[in-house]
Amino acid sequence: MASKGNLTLKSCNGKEFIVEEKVAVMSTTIKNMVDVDDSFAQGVIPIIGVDGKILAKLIEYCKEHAEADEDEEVKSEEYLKKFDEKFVDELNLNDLYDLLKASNYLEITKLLNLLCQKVASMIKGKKPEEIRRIFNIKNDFTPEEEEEINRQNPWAF
Amino acid sequence: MELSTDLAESIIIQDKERDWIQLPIELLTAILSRLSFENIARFRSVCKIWQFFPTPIPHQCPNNRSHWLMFNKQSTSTYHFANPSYKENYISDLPELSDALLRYSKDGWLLMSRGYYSIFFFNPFTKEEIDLPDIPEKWTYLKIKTDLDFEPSNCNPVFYNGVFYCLARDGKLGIFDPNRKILWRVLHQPQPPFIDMVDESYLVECEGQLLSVFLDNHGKMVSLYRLDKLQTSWKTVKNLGDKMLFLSHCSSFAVKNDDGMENKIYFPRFDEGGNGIMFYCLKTRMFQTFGRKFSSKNLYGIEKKLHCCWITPSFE
Repeated sequence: MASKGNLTLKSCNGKEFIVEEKVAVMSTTIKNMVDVDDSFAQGVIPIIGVDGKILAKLIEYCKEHAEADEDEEVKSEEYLKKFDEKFVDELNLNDLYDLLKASNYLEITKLLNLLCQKVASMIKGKKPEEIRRIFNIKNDFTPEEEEEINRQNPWAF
Repeated sequence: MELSTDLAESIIIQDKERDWIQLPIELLTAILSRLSFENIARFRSVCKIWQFFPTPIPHQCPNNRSHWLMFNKQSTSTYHFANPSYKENYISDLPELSDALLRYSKDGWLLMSRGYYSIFFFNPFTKEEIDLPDIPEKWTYLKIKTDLDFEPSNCNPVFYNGVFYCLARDGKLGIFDPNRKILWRVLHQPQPPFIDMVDESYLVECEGQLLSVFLDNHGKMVSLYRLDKLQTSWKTVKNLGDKMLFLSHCSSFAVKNDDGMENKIYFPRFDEGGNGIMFYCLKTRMFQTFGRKFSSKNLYGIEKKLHCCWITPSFE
């Protein structure tokens, strides 16, 4: 059981993490759970649909930002920016996908914005076939349909 | 125990690649709201499921290069943003603009008025507002008498060479010069071009030159002129080269372009289905829209947006 000021988060595959409350409540979803029901603050909070690897990543992110929120002088804005950049650059495609869904479910707004921006930058300026390659998406248009689309939006290609 | 969960994890992770097509709509919307309309169009061409993905409210788009027709319907505070090369409109609720009238737009900012006295600047993309002193205090105020000699066109004056040029419906010019004793004078030259039944006329600056555009008799004729260097006559202009004109009563401007939008004049009008913004192509001499087979030699039955202006987004 977590000591006072700490919360225990449990991933969907049974991995438990003891984290400081200020770190955990970066997630609005967790904050609401703790606020509404005191038993969560004492016991274990199950994080449905998020596995241990992704939960560890989320906690890593929240830790840095919670500490920065508490004391701006310890972690400058520039430091956080660099941390954010490194954080998203090191993600593989599956992690990015899982983190997007998890940060959405857990309502970690800052992280969600960061990840959306990352995916947007992966789409920006790319042709449809490049986007398909990056995200492993099958082209389900017939050549005729594709031609029709290109004709409709000639300015985009 | 630790080992087995790690193993379970690695099985999940390596299970298979994630299916990005299944990404929840709210996440895709959040991602796309950070992209410009060209990028969204390319995104839609990736696969069938994404093809009809709805247009999100812009976050950082519309992008800086693009020019948008902003208009509202029946004096609501819901404004639409339409782009000539884009099928769908963006919609933005701007309660800050309720009961206010669009007067002018420049560099992404609007000049608005409310009632008889109140005026303010507003940036619809950042929602910043700058209040201005009430009219007429602290302003140079001039009421121009409209008579047969000078019947002002509906378009705004153009600030050019340090003075304000005003266009008359028929093509005459008047000058408002706040630095002179005589604030207002009608120029003897240029002579108005001979046009029968002028419906609309616009004045716009384009690369250091003054251009005028006249629509006569439901757009059966579109006449484009430039003021010569001596400012004595309007010279006919046959094509705009790599320039395009955006015209409306509130704001008109010229922009350089080379990706297919050039040599066209964009009007605050939509085609019959109300989908595409109409332009007049100086090459084909027809009214057309992008992406549709619509083309017409005139503007019969085509509705014109009244409370509207062209705007180029600015987030600064």
